[in-house]
Order: sequence, then C-alpha cells, then structure tokens
Amino acid sequence: MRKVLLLLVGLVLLMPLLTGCIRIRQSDEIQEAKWIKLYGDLRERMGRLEEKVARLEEAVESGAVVVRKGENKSSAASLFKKPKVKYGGVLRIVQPTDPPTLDPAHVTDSTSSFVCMQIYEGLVELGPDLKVRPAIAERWEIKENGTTYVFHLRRGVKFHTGREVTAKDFLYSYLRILDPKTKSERTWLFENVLGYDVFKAYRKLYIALKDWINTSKETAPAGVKEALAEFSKISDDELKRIGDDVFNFTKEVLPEVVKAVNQNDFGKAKVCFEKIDSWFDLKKIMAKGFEVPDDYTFIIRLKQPFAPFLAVLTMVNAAVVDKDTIEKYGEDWSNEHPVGTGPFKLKEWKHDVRIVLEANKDYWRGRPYVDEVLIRIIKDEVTSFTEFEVGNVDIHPGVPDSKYKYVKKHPVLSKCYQEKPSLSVFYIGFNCKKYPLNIKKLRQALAYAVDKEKIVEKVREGRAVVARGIIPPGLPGANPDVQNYPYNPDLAKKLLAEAGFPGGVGLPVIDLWYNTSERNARIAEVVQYYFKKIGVKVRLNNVDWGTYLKKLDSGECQMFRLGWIADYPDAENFLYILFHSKNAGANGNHTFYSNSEVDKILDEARREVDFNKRVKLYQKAEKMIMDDAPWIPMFHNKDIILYQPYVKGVELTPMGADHIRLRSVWLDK
Amino acid sequence: MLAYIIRRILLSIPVLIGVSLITFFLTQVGGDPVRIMMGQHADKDVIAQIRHELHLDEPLWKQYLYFLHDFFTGKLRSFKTKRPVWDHLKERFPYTLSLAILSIIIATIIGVSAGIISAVKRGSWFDNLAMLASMIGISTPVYLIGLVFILLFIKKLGWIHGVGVWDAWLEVDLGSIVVQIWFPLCILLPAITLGAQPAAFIARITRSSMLEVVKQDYIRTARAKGVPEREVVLKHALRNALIPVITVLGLEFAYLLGGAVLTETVYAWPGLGTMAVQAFRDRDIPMIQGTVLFIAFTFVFMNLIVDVLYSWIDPRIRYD
Repeated sequence: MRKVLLLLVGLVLLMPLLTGCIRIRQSDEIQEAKWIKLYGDLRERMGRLEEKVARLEEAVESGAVVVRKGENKSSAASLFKKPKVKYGGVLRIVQPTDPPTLDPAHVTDSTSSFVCMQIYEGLVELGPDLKVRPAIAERWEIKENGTTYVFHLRRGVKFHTGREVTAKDFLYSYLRILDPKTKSERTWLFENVLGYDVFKAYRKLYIALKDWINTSKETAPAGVKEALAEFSKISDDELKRIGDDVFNFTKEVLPEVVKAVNQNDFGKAKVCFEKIDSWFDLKKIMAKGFEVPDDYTFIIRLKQPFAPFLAVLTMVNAAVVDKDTIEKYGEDWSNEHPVGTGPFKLKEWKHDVRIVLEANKDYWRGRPYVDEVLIRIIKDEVTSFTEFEVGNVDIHPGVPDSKYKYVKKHPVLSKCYQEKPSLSVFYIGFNCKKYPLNIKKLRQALAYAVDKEKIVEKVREGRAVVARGIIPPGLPGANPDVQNYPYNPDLAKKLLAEAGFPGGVGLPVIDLWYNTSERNARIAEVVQYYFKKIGVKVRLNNVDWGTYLKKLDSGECQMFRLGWIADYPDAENFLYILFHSKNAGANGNHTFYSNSEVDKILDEARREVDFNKRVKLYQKAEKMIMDDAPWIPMFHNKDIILYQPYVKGVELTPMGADHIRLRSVWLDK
Repeated sequence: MLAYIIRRILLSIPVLIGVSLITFFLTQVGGDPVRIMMGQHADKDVIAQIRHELHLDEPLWKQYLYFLHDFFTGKLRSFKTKRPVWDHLKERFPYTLSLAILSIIIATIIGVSAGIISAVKRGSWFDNLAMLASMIGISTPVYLIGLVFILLFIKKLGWIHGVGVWDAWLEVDLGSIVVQIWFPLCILLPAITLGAQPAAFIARITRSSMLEVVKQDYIRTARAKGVPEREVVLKHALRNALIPVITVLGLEFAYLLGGAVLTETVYAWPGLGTMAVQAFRDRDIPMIQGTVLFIAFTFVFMNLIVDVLYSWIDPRIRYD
C-alpha cells in the first residue's frame, strides 16, 4: 500500500515535467531571446528615424523647409512630430467559433470569412461605400457588351512566401474552385463563366456513364438522360465560343451517347465513356473562360452579360492562393500555411483557443498599423462581453441582447460602438404552390395582419429596422419609395373574406415552421398571435437547421421563417436568387414563387450593364413581387461592433462586422 | 486478475461496435451534411458532386465500411473543417482531461472530508450546514455557477485575469538556469464550477456510507481495544465506506471525460463537449462518429479501472 502511494505521489510530481508544465532553460537562452527582440525593436526604430531624416532632407532640398539658426524650428520639428497614426501593438478581437477553414475555396461562414479577409486578397475589393475598387487588379476593362472582363494586374504584389503574383496564379486559384476534387461549396461564383456549364454537363455524363459501366446494367441509368438534357440547354454558339475543339468533340460524341442510350447498347456506351475519359479536362474546357495572355493580364469571359460579376469577385472565395504552398503541403495546407497576399499572415493557430496574425511588413499597400492581431475564440456572448468589459478584448463584434440597452446608455461604451442595418432581411415566407397559400389574396391578408413595427420594438428590442421592402436600405439602388404591407387588421379581415374565408371559416390550420432558436420561437409566437386575431389558425413547428433545410428544399413547409444575408452588395443577390422560378427550392427560392413576368425582368436586369437601368428594373421587379406577397418582409438586422476607446480606424460597413479590414485599425495607447 | 482485465477489454469490443453502429444510423436521420455546408443558395448538381466525392450517395452498409476503414487508417476527416478527426480529438482531449482531473480532485477533497465530518458529527451545525450546501450544490445549474463566478472573481474582484485558455508561465530564476512553471490559473474557475456538483454528491454518499459503517461490529471492537478515534474513523471506517464513493467517483470522472458542454461554453474552454454538440448540429458524420467512439472508449476504460480499484480497496472482492 505504501509503495503504491509513493509511486502515485512520484508520478504526480513527475507529471508536470512529462506534460511540459515545467520547462527548464538556460538563462542564456532566455537572455539571448530578449536581446534578439530588443535588437529587432531598435532596428525598426532606426528605420523609422532614417525615414524621417530622409523626409527632412527632401524637404530642405525642395525648399519647403529652410533650416537656419533658430528659424523655422516649428516646421522642421513638425516633420519629426509623431504622425497622427501610431504603429505597433497587439489588437485583440473576439470571434464566436474557430474558423472551420482558412481555405478560400471552402469559406461559407462569417468567422472564416473575417479571418481570410485579413490574409488573402482578390482582384478587386469592396470599399466602405460598397463600391468595387481595385485590389490586386490595378484597373480593368469591360468589353464585348459586358461579357469580357480584362484585368490588369499590379506589379510587385507578393505572396507571404515572397513570390510575385501573376495572372497564372489567378487562373490556378479559379480553376481550383471549379475542380470537383476541391469539393468547393462556392462553384456558383463562376457559374456564368464561359465553359463551366459545358464542363458540368460533361462531368455529369461522365459519372452517369461510369455508373452504367460499373453496374453493367441492361438499360442506361436515369443520370445519363439527365446529363444529355443538360447538353440540350447549351447552344452551338456557346460551344463554338469555347473552342472548335470542344464543339467538334461534342458534336461527335453526343450522338453516339444518344444512340447507346436509345439502343441500350452497353458496348457503345463503354466506347463513349473511354473517349470522354481521355478527352475531358477542366483546363481545356475553361481555356476561353479564363485566359492568361501575359503575366499581368487576366481575361474572364462570361457566357452572357452578368452585371454583378465584379461584385461577385470581391467575395473572399475569389482570392488568389499560392500554388506552390498548396502543392507542397497538400490537402491540409491552409491549417498551418494559409499563404495569401494580404496585410496579415498567420503566426499561430491554436484551434478553438486563438489565432495570431502578424503584420505582413512587405504588404504592397505598406505594412498595417498593428504588429499582431490576436483573435480569441469565445463562444458564449455574455462571457466574451465580460472579457471586453474587463479590458481583455479590444474589438467585440456584436452585443448580447440583454446588454444592448446597457451599452446604449453607458457613458463610455455608447461612444465606442458603431451600428448599421446589415444587408440582410428576415422574412416569413409562404409556399406559393400549396393550397391554401397559393391564393394571392390570402397571402396579402396575412401580410396586412402582422404588426412589424411592434415586433421590431418589443421582440428585437430595437436591434433592427422595419423592412419596407425586400431589399435592405443600405444597398446601392434600394428603392426608398417601396411600400411594405402596413399593419391593418381590418383590411386583412376584408381580404381574408375576399379570398373565400370570411373570419377564417373554411381555412385549414396552417403550419408555421422555424428552426429551433429562442429568437425564432418568440417571433413565431407573435406572428401566430396576430394571425389568430384575424381568425387564421396557425400551428407552430420547430426542427433543427439540417432538417429544416431539407424540408424547405422539398417545399414541405407551408409557412416558414428565413433570413438572407447578402453575399455581395447587389440587388441581383436578393431578387434573382430568392424569386426567380429557376432557383426554386435549394437554390434559394424557397417560396417556389413563380411569375414569368418577374422572371423576364430579372433575366433582363442581370444582362443590363448600365447601373441606373438595372436599378430601375430591380425596383420594378421588387414592386411586382411585393404585390404578389410571397413573403412578409419583417426587418433588417442591425450589425453592431464595440471597441475600446483607444481603438481607431474601425469602419463598419453594411456588409457586417465580418467585413472589417484590420489593416486600417490602429491603437492609440 | 490479468485474465479478468483481458476478458473485460475483449468484452468492450462489441460494446464499441454497437455504439458506432447506433450513432452511425442515428446520424442518417435529419438533414444532409453537404446541404448544411452549402448554405441557403446551393446548386443541386454541386451537392450531388460533393456527395459523390464523400461517398454519401452509396448504400449505408458501404458507407459504414468506408467509415471503419477510414477510422482505423486514421484517414477519417471532418466534413466541415476537412481536417482529420483524430487531430480535433488530440487538440481537445488534453483540455477535457485536465479539467476533469482537477475538478474530480477538488470534488473528492471537499466531498469526502465534508462527508466524514458530517457523519462523525451527525446532527451538529456543521452537518446541517454541509448538507444544506450540498443540496444547493446539486440543484444549482452549472451555467449559473459559472456566470456568478465570472462576475465575482473576474469582473468585481479581478483576482483572475479572464476566461479562456492563456499561457501563464511563472519564471523562477535560479542563477544559471531558469525554471518556468506552467501556472494554469485559467483552469481554476472552470474546475471549481465543474467540481461543485460531484462534490455535493460525493459528500452525501460518503456521509451515508460512513453512517452505515460506523454501526458495524468491527468499529465497536476497534474502539473497545483502544484504537484512537482518529484511526478508527480514517482507517477502519473510511476504507470500508469508500466502495460506493469510488463507484460514484469513477462514473463522475468518466462522465466528465465526455466533455462538459455548459462549463466549456461559459469559460471558453475548448473541450470535447462543445465539439460534439457542434458536430451534431452540422451533421458532421465522421466527426460525430469519431467523438462518440472516443468518449465511449474512455467510458469503458474508466469503468474497468473502477472495477480494478474495488479489489484493491476491498480485498474480499476478487474477480478470477
């Protein structure tokens, strides 16, 4: 017994050493490290001093400053004065989750997007005014009716590894997103690029034929016919634009496949498969879509004009990535070596604890102000807010609901926060294909029945603005005159009667679905109450997000709540995706709303190059959609960002807190 | 004994297979992981393509075989982060383990001593107070304790620097060498919070078990032959009263090794619990599978250790 105890005690004492809780180091080592740091600091100061002397000399030479004994001291001194902006320091910021990925091809969430925006850059970026401005592309031309984009790249932009970025890197990065091996969630960025739908059709055909050959069935699987249907949507003209090679091959091989399917000829199918297998290649099919005439020119050709394309390219997914790094480190490259061209580079990533970014001193715009950024992962909002209050955090995106009023009244905090309605919309959607909500008058009645102002005031506690229409007010070209359905229970009752259900008689109980969350539940309950007031009975159902999406895609939900946050600031991102009949279901139109006239306008607007004309078209479409009432637009959430008084240069845009550029932030400490 | 341990280990294999099968089929209910990854604007063809790449379009039994293959070759990757599940476990487990060990130590020290004193001084003010405290300890939600602690020790008193994990190295200069000691103050609050409930539980069990033992003949004999009271309590009574305590301790510890979602959330502690919950939310099947299997394994392992401990504490229990 004693022995065992002794052993245990010994083990406990040894544990710290074994697990690395105690480190024994030579004093010299530590001293050396301290000296090296000191040396680095001194060198940097020297550098800054030299810069100032150079400026002074220049000023003296140009005659701006004349230095004589005792004269003009102040102007000479002003050159030596500290600039208004301070360099250095560690900026501490909170994020609610560990970023799932730092690979731009896979970013779909806001945390990953926020971190990636500091590390990577693309051809273009969004300014605070939501206009597209140059990034790595110095300038660009839009030619041939808006189908050809010629980007001229800046010279001397370097990856964190030191290699210069060329147009070939963009070609690699963009093909990588489209490559099925990457399994990117964001292929839709380039769905309008010339050749992509041909590639997709070939890929579909390839998989279906492979399936046929592997299972060696008598008849062709359904997938082959589906793939052939895809091909029928592609015009000869488009094939010719992609290239004669693609055109000729397609014209040769497709009839063979059709023959094989019609005759259920397994042998023929096999021959076709082998042909396609040896020919088909992403790079070959996309050769005209993405073209690199020289190192500093990158051409993108679209299959048809697509006006929001530049805005799409501002998304972090379209950032340039380093081929060498990816090939060197393989699939896991972005975990330790997320190499981009941005103002910060990754120094340390302790998963679920912190991410440390360090300033990229060779950044082409000049180094960012802070030396380091410490991103701490704290899931619980109340906890992270406490950390902010104690002073352990410099920037805190968001405020817990319970603290919102406190912050607004607080003498210090109320001056250190920015708040903006984000480019998002929260709505109650109706399934326009299912009885009884396929009746337009009933939908309108329901839209009149809900008091949106009260919901914003009481349930959202003023943390949102009431929706006037579908498109959020901060979006360029939003219509200031659009009218939402005002709260009017009498009119609602009248319309309900006109729809054939006076007082709600004869109307079956309607299911209102939401994904489980306290906030959604509260809103759903209030909506239920308002509907009951006009005699419409509603049953509430809640499921988790995964199941919810499945039900929405299949059109199972009669009435549901959803939100939409802009991917890029363009009305197209709202109206085309959420209301075009082509996008019914999983693609975004969960109301299955279909109005051929609206479709026509939306198609036209997508092709229109002139901004003012497009705005008019979208405003027209929005008005028509509002009249059909497939939604009750409820509100646009406000995005909030809090920071300590010494944090300067924070700029919240309507794109939200995850679009803050840390390169402009500095610490006045 | 060895034969017993080997038999137990062999017996745990079907348990683990059963666990993996059940979780595998449970994760098939509900949403599609690829659909969740893609968000609200998803191209059906791309979903189909990614599902194809991840083998999700194949029959379930085949998917299960793929899973087993990947699991044993270490190739199992999370759908969401694309990183090996094993890496996630390796990162998270040390945090869960250290938190579990510390909170169980705290719980044992507080619980056992409070239980002994309460039993010996039955009916005294200490007994009443301790049992009241344990009642509060059992019934207070962990989340609440956590928030109160944060407000008190971090915000009001400022004794502790903040939540989360931070490296804190205490430097002791010894002339030619410097000893750096990891001084993990950051684990203290979560450990006390997490230990509060087991402490209360253990106090009650110890007390009732001691009361039972103290009535036994051999205690009267020990007292009659003049053994000092201290020794009677700590050696004769306690050792015999420990069996149920060990059972509870073992179970509590194994339970803590599965992660403590609420404590982890409040203190931003990167343990297994929050990871498992997130994986379920994302329908990240490989991640759920890996985590559940891992937790099941630790559970089985801890139960084995408890059983072995029984025989050490009470030599009457033999397993061969």
